[in-house]
Amino acid sequence: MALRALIVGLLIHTMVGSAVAGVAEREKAKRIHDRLIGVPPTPLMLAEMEDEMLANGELAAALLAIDGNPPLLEANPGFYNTVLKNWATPWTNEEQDPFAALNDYSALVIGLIRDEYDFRELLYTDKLYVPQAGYQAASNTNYENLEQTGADLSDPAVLVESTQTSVAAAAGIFTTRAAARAFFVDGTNRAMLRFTLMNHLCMDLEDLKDGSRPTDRIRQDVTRSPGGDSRVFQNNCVECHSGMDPLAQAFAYYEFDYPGDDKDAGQLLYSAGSVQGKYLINSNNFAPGYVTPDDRWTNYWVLGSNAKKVGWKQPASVSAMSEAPAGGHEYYPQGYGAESLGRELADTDAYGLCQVKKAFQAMCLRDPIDGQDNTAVSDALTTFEAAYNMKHVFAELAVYCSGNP
Amino acid sequence: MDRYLPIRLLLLTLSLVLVTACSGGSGGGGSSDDSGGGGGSSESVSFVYSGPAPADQEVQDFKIEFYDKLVANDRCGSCHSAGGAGGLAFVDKGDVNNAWRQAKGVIDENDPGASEIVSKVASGHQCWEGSDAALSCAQLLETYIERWLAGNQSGTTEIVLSPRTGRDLAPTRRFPDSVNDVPAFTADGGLHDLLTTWCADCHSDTAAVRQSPFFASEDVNLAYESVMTKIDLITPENSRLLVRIRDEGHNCFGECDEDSVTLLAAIRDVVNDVPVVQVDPTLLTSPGQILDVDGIAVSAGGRYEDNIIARWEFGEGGGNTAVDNSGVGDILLNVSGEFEWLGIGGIRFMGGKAQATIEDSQFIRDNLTATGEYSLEFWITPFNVVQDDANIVSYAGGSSIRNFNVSQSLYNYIFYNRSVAPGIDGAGSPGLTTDDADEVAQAALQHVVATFSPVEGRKLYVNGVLVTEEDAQGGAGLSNWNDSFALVLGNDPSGNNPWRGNLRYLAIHNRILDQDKVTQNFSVGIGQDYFMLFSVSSIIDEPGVCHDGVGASRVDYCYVAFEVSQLDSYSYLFENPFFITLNDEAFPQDFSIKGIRIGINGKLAPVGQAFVNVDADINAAGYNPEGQLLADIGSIVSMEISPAEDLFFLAFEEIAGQQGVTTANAVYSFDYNLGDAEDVAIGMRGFDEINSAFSAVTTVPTATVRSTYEAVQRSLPAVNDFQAYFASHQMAVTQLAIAYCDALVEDPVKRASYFSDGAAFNFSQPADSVSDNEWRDRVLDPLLQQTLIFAAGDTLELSHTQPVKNTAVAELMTLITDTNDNKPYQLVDGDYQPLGDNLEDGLARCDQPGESDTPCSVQRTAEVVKAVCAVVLANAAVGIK
Repeated sequence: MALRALIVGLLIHTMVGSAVAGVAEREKAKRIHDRLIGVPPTPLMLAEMEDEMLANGELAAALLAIDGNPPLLEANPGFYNTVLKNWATPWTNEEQDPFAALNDYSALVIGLIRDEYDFRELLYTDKLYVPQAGYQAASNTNYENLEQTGADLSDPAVLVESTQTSVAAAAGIFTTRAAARAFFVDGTNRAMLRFTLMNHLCMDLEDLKDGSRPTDRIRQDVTRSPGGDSRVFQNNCVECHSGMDPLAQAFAYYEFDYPGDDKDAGQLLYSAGSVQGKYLINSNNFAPGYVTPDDRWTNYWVLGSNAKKVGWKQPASVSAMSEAPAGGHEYYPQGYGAESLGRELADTDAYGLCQVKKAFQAMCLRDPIDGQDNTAVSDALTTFEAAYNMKHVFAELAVYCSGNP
Repeated sequence: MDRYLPIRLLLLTLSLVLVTACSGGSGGGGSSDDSGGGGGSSESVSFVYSGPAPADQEVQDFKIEFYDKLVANDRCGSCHSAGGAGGLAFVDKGDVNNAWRQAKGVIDENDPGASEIVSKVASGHQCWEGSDAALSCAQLLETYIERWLAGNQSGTTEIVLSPRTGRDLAPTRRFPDSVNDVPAFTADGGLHDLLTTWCADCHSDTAAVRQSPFFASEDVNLAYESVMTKIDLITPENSRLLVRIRDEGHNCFGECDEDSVTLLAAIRDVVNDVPVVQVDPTLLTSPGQILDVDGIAVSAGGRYEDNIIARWEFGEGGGNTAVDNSGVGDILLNVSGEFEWLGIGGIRFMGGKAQATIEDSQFIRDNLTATGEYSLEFWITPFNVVQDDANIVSYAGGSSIRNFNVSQSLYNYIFYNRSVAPGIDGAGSPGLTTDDADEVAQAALQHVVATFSPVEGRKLYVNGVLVTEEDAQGGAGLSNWNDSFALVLGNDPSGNNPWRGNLRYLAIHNRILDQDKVTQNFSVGIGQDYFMLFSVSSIIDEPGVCHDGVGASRVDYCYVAFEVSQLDSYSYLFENPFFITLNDEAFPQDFSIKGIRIGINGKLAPVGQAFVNVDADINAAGYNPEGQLLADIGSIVSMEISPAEDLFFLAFEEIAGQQGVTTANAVYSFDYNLGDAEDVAIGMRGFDEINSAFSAVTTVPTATVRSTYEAVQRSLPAVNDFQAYFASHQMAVTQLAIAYCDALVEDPVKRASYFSDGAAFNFSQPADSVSDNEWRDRVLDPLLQQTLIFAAGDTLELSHTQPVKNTAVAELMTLITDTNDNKPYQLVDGDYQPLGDNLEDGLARCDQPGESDTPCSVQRTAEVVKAVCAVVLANAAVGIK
């Protein structure tokens, strides 16, 4: 909000105060602030929000609650310190633990929203938001210190926009230390894809099962006869692995390396041109399976029943590939590495809808209800797709769930 | 052009064949075991041949592997020698060359299992093991034939690829695209009704906890699309939908048996509604082939078996006995309990066991203790990796006494061996185990070899790799082996340690297998491998190059071939497709092959199309005598009927410029449904929000109370759901509130500015000297301004979401200044009744006889403020948002 508008607002408040703003506006402003910031408003903030609501509408009042209008009106940084951190934290660890510490993944979420960047960048940007004390490739300590000292994450000088330089081939959250610690550690790197789908397309593999996809890219470590019964593979395993394995191939050069058993002291590694050993383990489980040669991903889910569930927006012919690789003449989208995969996943209807639904849940304390909230969700989705500005999506949904004046 | 002899020799090095690991089926050809070593059939050695010498090596092989095994009178010799009652003299005692000629007439060289002699014995004809062991005798005969035909193979195998005769593709049932064309599915009481009634809690896209496939969706199109792959149109009884209920007891509606009947009837109705149609005419197809009939068997050979004393390949397929077909020993296993025979050879143990008699087992003891070393070699598929202490192969007297045992414990294999080594007990403990971190045991087909030598002790190899560290107990003699134990597979003799999984092969060697021999035997693999040749001669259509002749004399030369085998009882493995021409004299013009799909019984296999991305240019430069490889991967196709009946074909996206329609077009139509959540208006602040809120209300930085917050953090609400807020959460909230209020009140500067109405509250005066106005204006008002949110002089109140200010003030004033004597309260008939203690109840009423803090101390004033502050903070007025 412009300074002028605030001054006008303050004047209005001084001149007419609550004589104009009624109880209904006050209740609404209180609820908006509670949901967006996570803490009760100060009496001054509440009054200013009421006035802003009358002068410029509810959305403006909500945005005032988030960022205030310093130095005349300071906002509580709770939207960043608390609400967004809690919103993002469960995505950053395999246990989906909301109590986990602030980290570079959750900080990237907070930073992109704070600075109103295209929120799709979350899956492919090379941006990073780092503590003033600096970034540590093999430790989360500086982020934990930020949280423990209650540092103001709304302050660009405290949570500083930076660039991912500790690892080559940066790709949004995929190459954050926290995500690597959670999803590249041990295993086969499929976890990174699965949890990204869960957290950012709001679909677990259960929702995306499709046994009709080609099976040529399923790795050797997947036995085709689990326990000696290939019906299990044909009716279950294949439905995820046929699509998942060729997508997770994008992460073939990444590994989370740690000393001894101390995973908290580990860091992300990237081996350009060299497939990590975890892609080649248990090769005798099905020797004729796929042997990963590089980090070329292929999106088999662009056809089949998942097309309408995900809503891929990048048509195959203009997908993330700058140059089509050999083979794959069915024109499935393909690319090399995590960054292009991030673009493929982020540029989908499901990605936008997922962000809206998650924000809805945070602001309304419930999931949207069919038949009741369709318009609100649709409007929020339109807002998201207009500029991919999640701050506005949050503000809009906080207003929606603030009750009727 | 000269008439081309349509046979070419395809010389395959062992390495090519070994990729798919075939053992010569149930025969494991290429053995060079020493029949005379370590024992032998007493019947077969009772006769000494004195006739003409074998005419050549093949007859010599016949004599060793077949004739010598059967010539005794108590086997076939009494009837099937020259002039015998049986007529055919395939064990002619006077002339082995004649016996060889006679025997050739009753065997099938391409498929020993299909030999007339095998079939006859299997049907009950003169089984020497007893009339109830006909299948075991048949299995033995098949093995003898295979070994005879295999001879002493070296590491190179010649495989003859000869032209195939294509089969017409028969019409079949194929699901129509639209559910409207299968009215039985949506009929009242039909399959969709059944599924939505009983399965929609999980198998629906709108279920709370969704489980695919969504065949119980209210969206009938989605349900239809999802159910297609779960119905077997050829054999409805094999429908996955039914198997899960009938065989696996998966969430039956009521009684599984009755439900299965109901479900099968509904499935049959659907199947009957699905029309029988010709193969999709838009497909570019090859002629059909049947694996058992048209497949060209590959005999890999090369297994090292020189020191085998017992071997089971479990090819019986029925009955309750498994025969030792090593030709050395003669240990019959009695199979009991819960088990089933595998169609591909093997036993699936599900709690049962296969056990030899003690007497038969002594043969093992005698042979292994004589050499002092041994190897156990087996191919298994563990059912899972959660079973513990599960005995796979034991020579034991019970759960804790044994000569040897290999068991599975989660992801580990453990090898126990009794010996006289120090520290080894009668159970062969401590066991030698694989490393937890390696997760060696997998629920996949694995080759396991356990070796013991008196020098190095125990070793375990899995899939050709040594997976154990050095045996700490080392090697020693086996002189303490007990001869009253029994060989048991899949359990121990008492039945207390069942192992669940498939056992497809077991060999006992009386020598150790070294790394090279382990690698050799692993590479040979298990199971029968075939080549299947699908003609593309009509598509390429170059007369004289890809085909010759017409009508019945037509011969096709150009093929796309696969290596094919049965992976298990339920599917086929197709791998390494290659193009090959059997015409040595002319090569087709350069052409390309793109997109191969496997068809079965008139339709494309719905699952397992791994070769759709094949994209190869076929030309002489890329071609060699073994053909031109099109892909170096494999995939599996579900069995529909049997290897003798399933009719396969290939469909191509493109060959030599001809196109087939095989690609579905993507249709972009994103759609979503919101769920059916509970509508709520309010919720609780979460853990961080409570912390921040307390900080905001008290102005105490969060860092100041960090230690308390970290101590109670996980006891604070993790979710906003009002219904999930419990007393334990309230206790944690209270603890945190007290910490914040303590920090506020104990900070002289902060409290002076906070508790003020312009004039600071005086913390130095005794609590009972503080006036009501001071409490109200300097203590309560500052707190309530931040929680009920009002500025000085405000007349508006948040009465809808917050307590009424005056009510809150009255309650808090009572807490501080109450002169009544009600506390403590006691529970009487479910109600709390004032008991009283002769002391006024107000927190500030300390200056009275009997009060512990009399006269009021200075600290008491601060304590009252802290208490009131904590009440305000740990309150729904702050906690609810």
